[in-house]
Amino acid sequence: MSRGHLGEFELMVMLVLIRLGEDAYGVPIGRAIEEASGREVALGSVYAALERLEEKGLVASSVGDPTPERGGRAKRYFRVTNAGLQQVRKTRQTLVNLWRGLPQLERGRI
Amino acid sequence: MTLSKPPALATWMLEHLAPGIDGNALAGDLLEEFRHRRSVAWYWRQVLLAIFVSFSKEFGRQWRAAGFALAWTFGSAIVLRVLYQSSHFRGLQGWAIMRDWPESIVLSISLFMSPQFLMWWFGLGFYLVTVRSFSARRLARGVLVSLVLGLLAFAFDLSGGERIVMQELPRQAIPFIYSTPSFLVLMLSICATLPSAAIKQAKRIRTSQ
Repeated sequence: MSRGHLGEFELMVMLVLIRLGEDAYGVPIGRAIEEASGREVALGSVYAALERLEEKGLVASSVGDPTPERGGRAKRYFRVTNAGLQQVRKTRQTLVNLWRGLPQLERGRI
Repeated sequence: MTLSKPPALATWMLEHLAPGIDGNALAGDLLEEFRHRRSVAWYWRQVLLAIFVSFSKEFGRQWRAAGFALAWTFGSAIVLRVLYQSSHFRGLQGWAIMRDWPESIVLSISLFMSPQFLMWWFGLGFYLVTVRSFSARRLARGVLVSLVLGLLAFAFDLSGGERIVMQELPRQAIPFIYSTPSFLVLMLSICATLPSAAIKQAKRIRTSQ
């Protein structure tokens, strides 16, 4: 398990995975990040982040059945592991601690 | 304009030139999105970004290959310099230039490029044998990648792009600028031949199901 904190994009991917549950594969993950960020997302970057998280044991993947609309290619489903959930909580706590008590960032002053 | 079929070349490039990520699943996702609501430009953009991300990832992983490519590049630069300055080679060049057009230009360019390509291919084969990953298919893939990238590098050089870049840099950087395209061609060719950790992992998942 990774002891460090999640990067910004990794955290976004993890939160989307938690939100999507069992339907999390490349297309809905990319769409959810695009909708949240308002920017086009490179699916290659999403896969690179997912595979990095998988190597750290924070995400697990499984391959579904091939479908005709995907040219006979299978979907690769991703889910967050228990270690991944702990890591998300830890990152959230760190960010909340850092965020707290910053008057410059309250009520849109900046 | 959105077409029902994405560009075949882009799909082929994704499946063969993106060693750092699971190209099969990604190709399926891109096709699904493309058929749903995306343009050809979007598809190409995604494929090129995926290849870039994939190679960046592999560069970080393949330290041994990077070290080999660096050493081979500098070693081959010395060999090539000796070859290009030899009287035999100059005589051959003179013979090529004296031929009729367009034979003269084709022979001259081929003579100039072929030693560099041979050095890349020999280096590629040597590396694959050394790391016990040699197969004819892998070598062919690496040769193809080096051919495409090498031609692009030579086109950049012939267009004067390299000289323009060098004018902006201090003299000490010149040997590195000369060697950078050669290093990148060899390194990317090696990356394209080796099975990445991501692909190995995807295969493990498939076999375990």
